[in-house]
Amino acid sequence: MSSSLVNDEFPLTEIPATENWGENYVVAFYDPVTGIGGMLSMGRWVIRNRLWRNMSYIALPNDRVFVSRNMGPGTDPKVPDSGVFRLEIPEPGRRLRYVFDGPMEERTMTDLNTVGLQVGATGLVQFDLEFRSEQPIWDMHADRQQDHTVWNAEANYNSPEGHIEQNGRLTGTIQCGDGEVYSIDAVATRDHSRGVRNLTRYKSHIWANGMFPSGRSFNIFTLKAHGFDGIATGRSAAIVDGVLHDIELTTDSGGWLNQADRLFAPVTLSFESPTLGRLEISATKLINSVPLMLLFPADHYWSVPAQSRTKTLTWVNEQKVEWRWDGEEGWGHMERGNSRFAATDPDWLANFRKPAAGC
Amino acid sequence: MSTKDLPSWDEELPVTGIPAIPAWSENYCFDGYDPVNEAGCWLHLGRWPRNASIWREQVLLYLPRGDHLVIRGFGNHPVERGAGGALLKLQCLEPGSKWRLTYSGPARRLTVEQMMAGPHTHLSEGPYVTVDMDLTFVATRRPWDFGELIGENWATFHYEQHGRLTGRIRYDAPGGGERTVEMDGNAYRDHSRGPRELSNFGGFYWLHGQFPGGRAFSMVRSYKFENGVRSVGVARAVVFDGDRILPATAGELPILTDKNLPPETYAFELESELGTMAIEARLLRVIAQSSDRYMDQYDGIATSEIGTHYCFEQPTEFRWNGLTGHGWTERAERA
Repeated sequence: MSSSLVNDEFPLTEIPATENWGENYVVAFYDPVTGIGGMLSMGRWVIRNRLWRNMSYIALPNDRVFVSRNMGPGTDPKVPDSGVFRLEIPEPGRRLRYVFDGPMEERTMTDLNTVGLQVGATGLVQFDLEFRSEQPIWDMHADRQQDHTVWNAEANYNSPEGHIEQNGRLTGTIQCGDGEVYSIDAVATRDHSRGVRNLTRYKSHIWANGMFPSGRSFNIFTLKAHGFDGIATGRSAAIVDGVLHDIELTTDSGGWLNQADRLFAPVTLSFESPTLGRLEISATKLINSVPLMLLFPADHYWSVPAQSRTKTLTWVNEQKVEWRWDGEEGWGHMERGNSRFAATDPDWLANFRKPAAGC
Repeated sequence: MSTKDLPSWDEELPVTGIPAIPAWSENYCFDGYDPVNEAGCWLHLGRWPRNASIWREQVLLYLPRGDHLVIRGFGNHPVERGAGGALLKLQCLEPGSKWRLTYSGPARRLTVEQMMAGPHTHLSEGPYVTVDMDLTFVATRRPWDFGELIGENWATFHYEQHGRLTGRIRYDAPGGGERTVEMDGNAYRDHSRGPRELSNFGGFYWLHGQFPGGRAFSMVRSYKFENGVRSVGVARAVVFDGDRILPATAGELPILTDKNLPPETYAFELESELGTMAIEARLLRVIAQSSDRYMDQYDGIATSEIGTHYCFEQPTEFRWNGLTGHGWTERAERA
């Protein structure tokens, strides 16, 4: 059953006993001044959904990445809480607070992508970050009929019970490493989703967002799945002058990660819109990339499957992006993957032998 | 606390105020194995020296048919009369004699082949399955109190105790489905407090076992490594005979000589007023792990660049004087 999460921001208190049912909160951010970005993810572990799972990373310049994942039952039904990371929702629709006090594992982006996350030494990381926005919330499921492909369980990837996104700013302080303290003022997109996830048919996808100094922003989620020709499902939106517009990725658009050695190659997303006409938004620089391993049907970890080669594993890539839209430079996040790739493929590894990659 | 007394509630439970001492930590460890059902565990819950308000939990499970599950987590969920990390809960039911140990959450499957595939097998992240563990530790002997430890890099307050672990472990089985295994086996526990910073770690040997008829033994030997020189830190051993705890001296230890899987057997002797106790050991299982100076653990064998030491946690069958007993062999060497 689908519903809008626009006015339903707090976690569901009656957790369905449905296999692979989850509820997720994510914020992706990038601060172009410090070069610090990341993705903070708090979701119910679909394998045992009474547990909250923190799955977050913070990427710094110079190949540095802090990753974290831990699980806990939480104590307040209105506060997703994994034990060391909690998400507070002080003002639904406008303000969320992300508080972390605990271990993260610092690794190089290169190692994460080539040998995977080797579980081990941690360092203390503390942050207190606040998301604020006056922007409209994009409801990915708004005005969709139940028979639309979005709702088609065969193709579904991203939470049939609802998915909203909102663009805004994330500010606060991050303490990490050897006494390092960073003040963050970042562009950010946060989401909230619910429903059964089943990635078994996953082939390829793009989840991206970008924000620009003029106030414009965009969001896209689109997916290719086994058993479907072309795009199986997806939707996009742009916000211009505070107004939300439907836009649609064209069939000839770039952005899909089709070649293993093109992870950091610039791409252009092409859209058509009944209200905005044709839009070209280019990723002029792929700043860095952190791998998120997917275990079908719906689990994930920070790593690449370098030591496991089963057909139930693939990975997607969390990338910070410098965008350009009508000559205006902006920043944001792009998540892409391709289930055909192998983490041991020399073409894939070549992405990380280039001196400029991710630095 | 003396060896004649049971620990008090204050000694058993976590401190209520964390001392402002660098790298200060507090640690609980339980190990046990049931050789009949091929089920056992090594559980560690310790305050994270990088932030002592956070508990770090480590659950190593030895399951039938050579199956192993491992999880490490962080959290600080309170447990009434006990300690809790993210999902591991240790609850003291009776000071000095009874604890309940529960874990319900994710775990990662590891094989001995993965852990021991080469000289350095530091493993990458992988899929998780679910585990529900509910075990009860009941002491079988009085605690062995170390008194105040001075100049050690791993604790200043420490006691250990033999016991028995009973209960059950439910887990997702390899290949699908789930299994539940009952556990009823010899066990051991310790509790320590004090700074734990292991950059000068030089080696650690922790052997303990119980025999039918009331005889048991425990021994600890730690080494430091400073300025290129290895020296003994703590070297203590005791023999338990019925209700008595007798000081003992350990002979030559089964020292690890490299990072390969150690031989399946070893022998050692303990001298006490009861005479020489010549013990033969047969190692039943192994989980290999490594650690950094704050005891953040790695799966498999880490290089010296990223770990201070590597360690083998091994349920062990002991033979002495025609009797067969069971216990544990923990051996760690500098990476």
